[in-house]
Formats: sequence, C-alpha cells, structure tokens
Amino acid sequence: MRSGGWKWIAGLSIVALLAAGAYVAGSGPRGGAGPADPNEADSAAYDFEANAVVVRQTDAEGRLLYRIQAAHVAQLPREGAIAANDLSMHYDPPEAPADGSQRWTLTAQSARLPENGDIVELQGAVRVSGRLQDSSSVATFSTERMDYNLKTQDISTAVPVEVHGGGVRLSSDAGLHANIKEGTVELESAHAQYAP
Amino acid sequence: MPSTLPDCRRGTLLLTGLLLCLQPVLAAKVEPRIDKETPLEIDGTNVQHNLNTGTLRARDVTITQGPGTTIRAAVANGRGLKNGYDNSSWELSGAIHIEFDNLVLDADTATVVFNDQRIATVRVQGKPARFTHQQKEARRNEGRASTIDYEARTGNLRLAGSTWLFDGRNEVQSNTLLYNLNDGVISNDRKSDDSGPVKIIIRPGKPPTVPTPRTPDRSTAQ
Repeated sequence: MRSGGWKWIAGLSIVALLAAGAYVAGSGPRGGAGPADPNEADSAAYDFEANAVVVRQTDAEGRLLYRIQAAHVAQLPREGAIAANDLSMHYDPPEAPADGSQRWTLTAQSARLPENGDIVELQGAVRVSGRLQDSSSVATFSTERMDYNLKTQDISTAVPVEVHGGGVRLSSDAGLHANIKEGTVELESAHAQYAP
Repeated sequence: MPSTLPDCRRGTLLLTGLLLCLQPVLAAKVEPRIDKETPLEIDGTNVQHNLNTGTLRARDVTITQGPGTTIRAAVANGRGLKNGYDNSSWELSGAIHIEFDNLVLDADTATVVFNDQRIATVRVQGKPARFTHQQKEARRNEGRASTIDYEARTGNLRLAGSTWLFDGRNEVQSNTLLYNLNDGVISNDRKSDDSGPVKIIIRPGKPPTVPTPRTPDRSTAQ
C-alpha cells in the first residue's frame, strides 16, 4: 500500500455506503452526535460519518486483500484521519489460498486510521487472530491497545498482551512487537507456557 | 593413601572394589519421577518467538516443569516448538543451572532435549561442568568433568574429560566414567576408547572418637 493509502478507505467507505443505502451524512461540518467517540478536539465536526460500513480492497486481479467492517466511521476534519467503531478487518496474506484458510481477522472497539500512513491505532478489546504458515494452529493476540501496520503487517503494543498459538501462551506486561506475516513475536520480558 | 594406577585393568579391578564398598550406600534404587501433567513454563527477557518456525530465543531464562524441574541460563535458543514443547531442543549458554530428579548440573553450555513431555537427554559442558545427585536415603554424590551427558532412558550420567567423582568419602578420577542415577553404580565407560589411567582414593572410615579426659585444673583439684 502506498503512503497515504488510507484515502482509499474513505473513498471506498462512501462507495460502500451508497451501495448499501446506509446512513450517510454528506460532506461538510457536522455535529459529533452518534456512537463514535473520537477525541474531544475532533468531536466538533466530521467531514463525513457513516454507519454500517463495509470496505473491500482487492488487488489488480480482483483478489480480496482486505475486508473492513465497522459499525460507525467518521472522517475527522483536521488531519483527515478516520475513526471507526466496532471494527473488524479480514486480511489475506499474499499468496494465501483463496479459500480464506489463512485469513487473519482483527477486531477492536475503536480504531483510528490516519489519512497519510499505514498504521491503524486500535483500542479496546483488540484481538488479532489467524492461521500460522504451514500449520493448523491459529495464533491470537489479545490486548487493550495496539498499532497495526497494514503495509508491513507489524503489530506493536506497550500494554499487557497475550499471545496464544502453536501450543504456547505468551504473556507480557510490557507489550510486544510482532509481525503476523512472518509469525515473529518479540517481547521485552515475557512468560511462556507450553501445554503438555 | 592415594595411588596412581596407569594400568587400565588394575584400575578396573580397583574400581570394582570401590563399587563393592559403596554398594550398600548406593543400593537404594530411585526411579525418576516423570512429570507429564504440568506445562513447561518459561520466564525470560528479550524473548523472540517465531510461531511459524517454532523457535524461541530469550535471555536470563528460567524454564520450569512443575516443582521438580528447573533450568536457568543466560541465553536460551529453543527449537521444535511449533506445536508445544515435545521433541523440542534447547541450546543454553552462560551460568547454566539445571535441576531435575534430585540431580543438579552447573555448566557453561548445555543442550537439553525434551521427549515424551520430559527431559530426555542433557549434555552440559564447562571448565569444568559439575553435578550433584542426592540418592534416596543415601549420601550425596558429586562430580565434575569437561562434558557430562545424561540419558533418561538409561539413567546414566557419562562424565568425560578430567572427570572426578566423590561420594562424600571416596574419590574416583579418570578420563571417562559412568554413573547411574537409578542404582548409584559407578563404572568405567566400556564403549569409550579413552581408557586412560584411573585414580582411586579410598578413605577408611574414621574410628569413633573418644573425648580426651580433661586434666583437672590445679586450682580446683583437691
């Protein structure tokens, strides 16, 4: 994804909304009422907001790369970032089978998607789960706050986090850095438990 | 009195004699308890785990399996962790301390292999590597060598390279020695080509000490 690639999310969101006939507030300043709860500075007005958004991003061959579903989406006027609530996202790694068997799913209570950048800031009951390469095992990352880089598939958090998968449960109070594409997890200090 | 016996046969005979002396002490057979119920727990810093390849690297590591098994090392590299820890192997380095089945090993480097949810083999190396083993209802044995190999299947500790073994009273020194944790038998390694001299020190038991009668103090003597 190019830098600033989040513009497509806004565009696609609107397209999806129009197609679905969902509630859409047109461009221009608007009050911040609604289920979204962006920060105070941005709550005065949105460029747009929408409910029940579904965004699909495909590659040149029409293969699904991302599917993002959110209960509410609003574009914040100052920096153009997009705030989403009750977000779930599905990601198929490159060269993954089309049946979705290696699909990664991300859910969070809220997300902030900068207009120019690839990092999604997730908050509240964040879960990232997906099947590991060459394995029937599913890995799940659980935390309360996480940054997720859509371009590199890096995830990072500085708060307590748990990782389940491959017969191990990793936990850390000091956060982690991981790459879900590579399956790598780095923790400053951690407790690992391998089941018999 | 210490005696150096360069002749391998004489050494073997003396070793056999020593074993006969030690046998009543070492006769208590101990079956190693296998912990297959509790998980393997690992605490460490700078933990790098690759879930795809099943490898783990960590520093200042403590690995435990229930209350009886503890492994500590400055650096640990684990492999074969893709689906749990069975058949995993661990390369350890720096300030290694391993405890299991009443055996304690201290060394500079180690390789630990798990199989069937328990420690299957251990190789420790150091300058020297050391072990202590508490026989049930018997005295504690200790030893050192450049390399110590443990095999769960046989219960053997194989000491190689400047070995020294001490049962609390008697000593054996050789290039290689086998010490069986299950029955406490010490023997030379017949499979080894390294049949160097054997040095055995047998210390007689101390006679019971009788307190020396006190000389009466002149001032209080009547």
